[in-house]
Amino acid sequence: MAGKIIADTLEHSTAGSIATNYVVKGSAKAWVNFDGTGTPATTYSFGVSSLDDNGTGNYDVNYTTAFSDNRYGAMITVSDKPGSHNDNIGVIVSGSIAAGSLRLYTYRSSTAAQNDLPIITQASHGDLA
Amino acid sequence: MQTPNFKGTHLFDRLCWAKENLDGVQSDYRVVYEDSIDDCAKILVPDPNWMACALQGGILPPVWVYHELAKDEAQPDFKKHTRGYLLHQTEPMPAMTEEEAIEYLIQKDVPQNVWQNWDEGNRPTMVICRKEQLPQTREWRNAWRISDELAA
Repeated sequence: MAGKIIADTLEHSTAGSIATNYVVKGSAKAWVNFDGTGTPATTYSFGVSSLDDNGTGNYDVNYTTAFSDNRYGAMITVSDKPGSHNDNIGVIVSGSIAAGSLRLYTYRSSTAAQNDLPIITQASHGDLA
Repeated sequence: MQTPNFKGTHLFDRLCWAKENLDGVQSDYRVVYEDSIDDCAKILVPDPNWMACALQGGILPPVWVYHELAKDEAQPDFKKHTRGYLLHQTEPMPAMTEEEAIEYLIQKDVPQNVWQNWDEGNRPTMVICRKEQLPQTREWRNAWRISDELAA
């Protein structure tokens, strides 16, 4: 492949160096940003094959590249309007994580009711199969 | 743009190439399915970057690879995938049409009990439709079912 750089270490002029396997292993292997209102649609993504809209505030993320098991790190951020008062939370429970997909929930925190939100971002870190 | 020869290339690296070189394709197709009598209808939404890979060809593994991994994961003593090489070393799929890509995606991401038996009951439990055919608001979302109109 054209433009390939093979290196085991990255070195900064003053800040030190880091082995490239930290970069490779530590990168998010899949992430997605989507609008969960109306007819849900993906805005930005990587490594994701589809979303499942399972109901109010309930979505599945399906990966193109499966993880090696279900013990990977999964993060979520949610918002109804960036930069303003935010009364929402996103939740991923370990029991809903599989190697090839995960389920996430979004809530209005003041009422503890599941809620559809326009900005949902989820990222997963771990070893791939 | 020609896809490089990716046979034997890690699937993650192929997806990196696709992300850098292909524009996402927002499909108008949606798959509505019911996998439990107690739950509302679910809607499968294709990912635009994945759809670009499917239409381009030479990137995605055959869908049977995912089925093999799912079989491994369903074993009671499953701890970790040991056949991940199937994702990376199997000959990638050639370019698909959008309709073929949706069929592939159904077999990958919809539960097998749904897509294998979707028309065996009194009413279909899975429908492929255009997103315009879905309700435009999410009112009573948790009560949505496949309507006779949509099933027709």
